[in-house]
Amino acid sequence: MEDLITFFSFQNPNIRYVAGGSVLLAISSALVGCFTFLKKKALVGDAVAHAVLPGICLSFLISGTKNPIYLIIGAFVTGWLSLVMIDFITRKSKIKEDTAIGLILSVFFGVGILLLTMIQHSGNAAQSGLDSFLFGKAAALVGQDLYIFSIISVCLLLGVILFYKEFALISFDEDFAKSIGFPVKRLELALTTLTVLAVVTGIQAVGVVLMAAMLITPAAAARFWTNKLSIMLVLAAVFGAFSGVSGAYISYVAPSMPTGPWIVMIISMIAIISFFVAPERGILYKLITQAKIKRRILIENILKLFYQLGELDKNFSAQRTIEQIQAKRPIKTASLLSGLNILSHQGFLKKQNNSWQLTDQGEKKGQRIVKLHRLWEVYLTKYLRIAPDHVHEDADNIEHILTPELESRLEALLQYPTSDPHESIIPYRNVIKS
Amino acid sequence: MIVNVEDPVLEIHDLTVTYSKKPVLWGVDLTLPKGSLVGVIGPNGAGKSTLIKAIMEIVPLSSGWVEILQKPIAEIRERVSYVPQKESVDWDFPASVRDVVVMGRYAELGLFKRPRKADYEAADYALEQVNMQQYANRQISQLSGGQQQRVFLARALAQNAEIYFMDEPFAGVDAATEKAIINILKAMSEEGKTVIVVHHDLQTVTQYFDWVVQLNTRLVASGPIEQAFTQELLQETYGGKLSILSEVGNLLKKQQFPTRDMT
Repeated sequence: MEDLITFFSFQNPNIRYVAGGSVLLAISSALVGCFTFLKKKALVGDAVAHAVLPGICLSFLISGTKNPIYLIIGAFVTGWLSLVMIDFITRKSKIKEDTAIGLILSVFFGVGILLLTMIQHSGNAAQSGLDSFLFGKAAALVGQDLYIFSIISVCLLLGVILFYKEFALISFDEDFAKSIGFPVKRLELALTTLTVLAVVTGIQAVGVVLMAAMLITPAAAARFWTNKLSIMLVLAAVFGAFSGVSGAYISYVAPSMPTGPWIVMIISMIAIISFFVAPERGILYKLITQAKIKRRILIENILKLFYQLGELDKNFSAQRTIEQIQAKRPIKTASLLSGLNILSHQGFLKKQNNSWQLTDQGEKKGQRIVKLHRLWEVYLTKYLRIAPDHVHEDADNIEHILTPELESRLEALLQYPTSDPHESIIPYRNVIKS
Repeated sequence: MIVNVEDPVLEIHDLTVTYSKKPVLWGVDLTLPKGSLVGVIGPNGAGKSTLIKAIMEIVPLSSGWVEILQKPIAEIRERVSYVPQKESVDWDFPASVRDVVVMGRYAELGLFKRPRKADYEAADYALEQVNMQQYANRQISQLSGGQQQRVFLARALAQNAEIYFMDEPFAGVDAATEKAIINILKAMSEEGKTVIVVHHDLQTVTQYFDWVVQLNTRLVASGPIEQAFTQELLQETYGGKLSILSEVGNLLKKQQFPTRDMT
């Protein structure tokens, strides 16, 4: 608890640097990542992340210092070059994009590792810490570095705001963008540049290997929650920021824990949770909807059975036992019981010592289901020319989904038929006319 | 059978388009009259879509030039509208129907400006014309094929252009939508707008269009329906590629030969 207060009071400048840096880079890569995600170029981020390594090493070799400005320029140059080369290979040869990305990623990363090993064995004292670009070291985000990263992050943010409409358009419909004369090539270039910048700022904290996750995962998680691009961007930024702070906090509380990997862990957790619980797109939501539909079908079927039994002995308010119902249709006892309980609870059935009877409302509901079932059978035989002995199963299903609007259209279309193809009477409710 | 017109709305001169050196359109020369409703027909792979993409300069030309109202396309884009095939975009993109239709206003808005209230009203008006106003806030992934096509048409209408190029607007739509779309296109043509449509269904050509362009890599015919939509010409268009022509095309691709002598 004390840790929590110390951390979130941000009194300690070190905490401020690490937390602030993590949040900034997580937000900026999340925002740019939304567009790479929507353009289905998720792997491109991975390629850039790996391709910046030789740039960092080269600029260290040339400048001899670890001044972040030089390193960023170096990273930017090779990162950018890798994207230009992927584009060139895909356009000018038969090689497809995924292969080109794989090629470029490994070649650049290989050169990077080669240079890094060379530097490490050169005996240059200034080189220590350069390898933190491989796996990231957020704790190294201090002082001057942070100012530079903040400036880049703000530029990224402004870039995304400025180009919002244009990026959305080229992500959705590139040909249309060309047709109205938008400079699609230059806009792509701008998006590429922002992606490289986001990667360059991000690898300091999470490293080359995990950088792709920082770009893509917040976007993928946000997509589950919304159908609006603007909200998706905001959500991705919020998810990114949250994982940034949490990662920094965890490594503060447990100093042996690395910040970068924890940021990635947390953003991945958010994505997994979104995958399960998000409304409409989430797995859990779909399961719940399925279960609700199943329950509705069950209770409507029970009411239908009560009504059909009532038709047989001309007594709709008779008491029925479980055995009587199961004799008409073998529903499993457990689900039948739960259905009966729900119906009694909802007031469609009345329970009296282990037998049930329809209430007025229950009778009306049962009658409607029976009517829909038989109307649908008439419709199938008449309009789809399906044989009368083949229509029952289909009607058993469709009776539950027909809306009142479709119901009245069906009645009008078939002109209120009196009986179904099996000569059963179609029950209509007597409407009291004034 | 190529009918040329005086004072054309569209003039294509010696147009050749290649994909990795293999010509998909070969030496196309044609002119179209203003206010006509043009059907572009031909078998699969005949270069129909490529033709309108080349006109819009979405794909590069290997040779030749295109003029719209006597001007190169770059100078006149705001008076031209293009409707891509609906399969060319991802309909799961996070956008509403109105978001897509308002893109039709982007040409006029230019870069970096946000759509204004007037642009949204123009979008709503266009949606009304295609009878989709009640779907304005619907997420585009929830639309049927016919509704997607109506949305694309609405986006084109929101452009207020004079010349419209449409890539298969009748593909994958229900009968009611097809009828609604053709009625809109006919009304546009009556207002003096020129509408050029890539079309697949030969049954409806005479009913829908007043001018027909028949393509099969080369231009087979271009002219008023009664002259250019004959059994003989259809036979030529759909009877297969010219075998020597396509073999030379394959040779160009194999040897990576230039389409035009550049010396």
